[in-house]
Amino acid sequence: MRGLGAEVAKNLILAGVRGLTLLDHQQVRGGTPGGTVGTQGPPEPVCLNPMVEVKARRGRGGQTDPVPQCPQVCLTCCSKESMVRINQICHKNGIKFFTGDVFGYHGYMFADLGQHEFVEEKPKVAKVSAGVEDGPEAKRARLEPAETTMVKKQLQFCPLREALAVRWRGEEAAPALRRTAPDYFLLHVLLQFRTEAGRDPCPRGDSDSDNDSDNVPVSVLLHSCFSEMAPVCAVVGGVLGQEVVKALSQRDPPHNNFFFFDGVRGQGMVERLGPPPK
Amino acid sequence: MAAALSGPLRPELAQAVSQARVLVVGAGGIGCELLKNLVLTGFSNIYVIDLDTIDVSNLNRQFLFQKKHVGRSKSQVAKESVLQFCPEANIIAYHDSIMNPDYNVEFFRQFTLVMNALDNRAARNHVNRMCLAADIPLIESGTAGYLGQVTVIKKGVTECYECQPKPTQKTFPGCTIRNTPSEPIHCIVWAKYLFNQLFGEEDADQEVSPDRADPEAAWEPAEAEARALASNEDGEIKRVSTKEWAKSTGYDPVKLFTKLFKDDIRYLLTMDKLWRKRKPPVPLDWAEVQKQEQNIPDQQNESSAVLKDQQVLNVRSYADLFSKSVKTLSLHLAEKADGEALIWDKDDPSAMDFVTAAANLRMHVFGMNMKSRFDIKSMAGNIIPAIATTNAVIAGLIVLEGLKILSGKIDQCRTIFLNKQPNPRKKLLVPCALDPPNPNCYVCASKPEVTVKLNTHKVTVLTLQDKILKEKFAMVAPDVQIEDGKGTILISSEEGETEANNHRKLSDFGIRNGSRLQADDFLQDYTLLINLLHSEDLEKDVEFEVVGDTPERIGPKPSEPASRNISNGSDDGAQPSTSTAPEQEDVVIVDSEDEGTSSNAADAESRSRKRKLEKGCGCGGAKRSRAEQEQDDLMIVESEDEGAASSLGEEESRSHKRKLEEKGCECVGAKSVC
Repeated sequence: MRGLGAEVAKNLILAGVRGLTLLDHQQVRGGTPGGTVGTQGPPEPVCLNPMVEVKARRGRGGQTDPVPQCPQVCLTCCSKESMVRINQICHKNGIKFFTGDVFGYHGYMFADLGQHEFVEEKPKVAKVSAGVEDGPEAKRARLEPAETTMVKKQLQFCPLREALAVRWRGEEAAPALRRTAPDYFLLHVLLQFRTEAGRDPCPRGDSDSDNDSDNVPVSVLLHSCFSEMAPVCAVVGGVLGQEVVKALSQRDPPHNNFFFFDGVRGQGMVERLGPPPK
Repeated sequence: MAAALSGPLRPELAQAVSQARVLVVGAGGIGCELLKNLVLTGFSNIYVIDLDTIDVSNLNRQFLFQKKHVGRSKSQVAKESVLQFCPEANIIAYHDSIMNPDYNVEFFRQFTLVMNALDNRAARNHVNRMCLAADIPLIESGTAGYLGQVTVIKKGVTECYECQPKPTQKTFPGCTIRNTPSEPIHCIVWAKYLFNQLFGEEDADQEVSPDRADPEAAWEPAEAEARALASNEDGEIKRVSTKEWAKSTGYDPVKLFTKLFKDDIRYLLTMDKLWRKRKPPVPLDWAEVQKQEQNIPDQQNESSAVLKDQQVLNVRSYADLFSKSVKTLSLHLAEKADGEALIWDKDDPSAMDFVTAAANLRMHVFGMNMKSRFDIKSMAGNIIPAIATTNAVIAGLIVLEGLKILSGKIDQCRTIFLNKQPNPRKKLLVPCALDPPNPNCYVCASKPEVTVKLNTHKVTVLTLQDKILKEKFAMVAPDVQIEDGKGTILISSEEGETEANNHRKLSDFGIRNGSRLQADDFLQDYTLLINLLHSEDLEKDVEFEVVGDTPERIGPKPSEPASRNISNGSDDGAQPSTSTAPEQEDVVIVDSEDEGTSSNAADAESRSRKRKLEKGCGCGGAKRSRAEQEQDDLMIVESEDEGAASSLGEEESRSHKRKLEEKGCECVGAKSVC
């Protein structure tokens, strides 16, 4: 529960999900001391929508294993290892899985909805009977563009482990490499740092940037990936919140499977990364 | 939301942020999210202004407000809520309209940055001018359903809000409404007109009976006269006002039904030219309809009250609903003082029942599928649902653009569009370079000038003031003098000085073809030179025309960027929202360019937008392949087929088309489908 988690929680509560469990093991920093992060935030989550049952629990995700009790799970700022592990549990149990993070100006979201069914509203294709000599005007008059029909569709998602294990070596990967959002590779670097250092890079730790400068593809990224920037949390939290609602309501095509936001360029990309769909 | 306050920003930027003084105009859907983002980013001097009070319908997305706040000032409560989680912020709240003259150019000059979180075009125009006059950068934004947009306006550097003509709300051609409706929206508009004709203010432009002057019917005059005579003899269609006639029947629902859905329709059928290429309407007979079974409403549980609105009933049920609502409304009218009329309101159940019933009966007569009360309400009330997450994303983007401005990197600012689905280049959020100012803009050019065509013998001074200067050119308190060498004052913003001129015609003041007027708005620090062209051949019901500004007919050349329809979310024409119509907050009325387009519901919006873009690109009505160029990287050409459902969803193609509004749009070959 940090900036992004709070944004997502706010959006879900406003959207009116039936129940929401917030889970965190940390104390509030900088805010009112004493409570867990889940019970803080502007304003108290319960005030946002009294119809939503909000529970706050202390503990680490996956440790006490509350996961299978919920139809959807959304993680923020977890290590790569816990994300992969919890995603595996969810994938096996048919639980919709989301994760996301914000690093300075950069943010991402990942979704594994397993085998996901949804409906999409499509305009009805007007059948124009052939052979009738109609002027274009009359043809248009008969068409009723406001008519829509609901179309059932399906999408297959892959687990996070596979999405992060895409191989980029070899010639066939070269064109894909050029087209893929650089944020995907930045994510790899940052998750690696988190695993090795046990924390996120910070601007005051001078050694952070020096040590990693060989790994980071573009040096300018270095100055834009510290801490969680509130407006970036708002953007990623908005997209992530909407995706959770979409998955719950099974309406409209979900973003399959990554969303990357680059706050420096103001660009948001949806990428499908992982093994080719069967 | 415990994002670190100092961590992510470079020290110079962090300092600029904490010292910046920002004005947030609007504390609604975007405004609430924006205020939260601002304090969490480290802004500490924030001024917020909103004239609205909190309505219960705001609570699902304006998260700074709770039920206990309903009825209180939005800006004040927003300030209190923000201070609860960020007590050190210095927030000043005004419960007022930004168009109040107290907020003059001096007021605007004190800010580093102004951010709009508005829901109406009148206020957007005004803030645009104030920021131009004060030379303060402005971040403009808007949302409509899943779509949103953020852009930056800086005097002399970028386009201003008014550089590209914004389409005005389209009214449908009278003969489509009266004679040949082809879409449900035409019937809904007709039903709303009918309401006004029967119970409301009568308006000659809202006639509902068959139009004998329909040029398409193209009768011989003699024949027309004979028909008119014949119909008079029938005693059915007389030239008395609909209201008078209805009154004389005592608002008898059966007589009204018979006139509207049988006799008028029969009359239309006699205009046989209309039906050569159209499916002719089928008159309805009250007695026949009464033989039908009534719909049995679902009475399974209480919650069906909500679902009931979403059911489409049968003709009999709508005939009964028509009858019932006519009775109720005529009673309401009788309770009113003499001469007073009812006002149509989508939230008045009987008014909504009436429009639902009348529109559906007409749809049935014209062979269209009927619609649920719910659908009709959303079309009649121009409702596009506001979505909290869209506002959240847009508010985040506003702050990011603000940070670029504060770093002195306005060249890196972009117009950013939020799509519902990623475009073919996988972009959900699409940044586009800002356009330079339009040298011919009638607002931000160094000497703004415009040419208006009107009939000087017909247009009064009051029309010039209200419809041209205030409505069209968004002035608040104009002063006008004639450039006749004497500087004759035509309109003064001081009360009591020129009211005597109001009802006189322009020609009475020696204004004729080629006359020039100088219009000043002292508050906006804005002077507009108006060249008048006298014209006697304007279309019927058109009082004036701004030359070069008729987006319905003349699209920009393909090389120019198409007129940008800022999805200013919430552009509800020109009127500022008030607390009496709160659910229209964040609502869009998108005009339609084309006779066959509805202007209202969300899906209709996409269509009208598409059509506009097609026109804007000079390849009217055609689907096409196109290339787009964005900044440095080159792009993909997507070709679309009429039924390109598989790879290119409706949303994608829409977003793709929306790209055309942005800079660098280019049509590469048009493939016509009709």
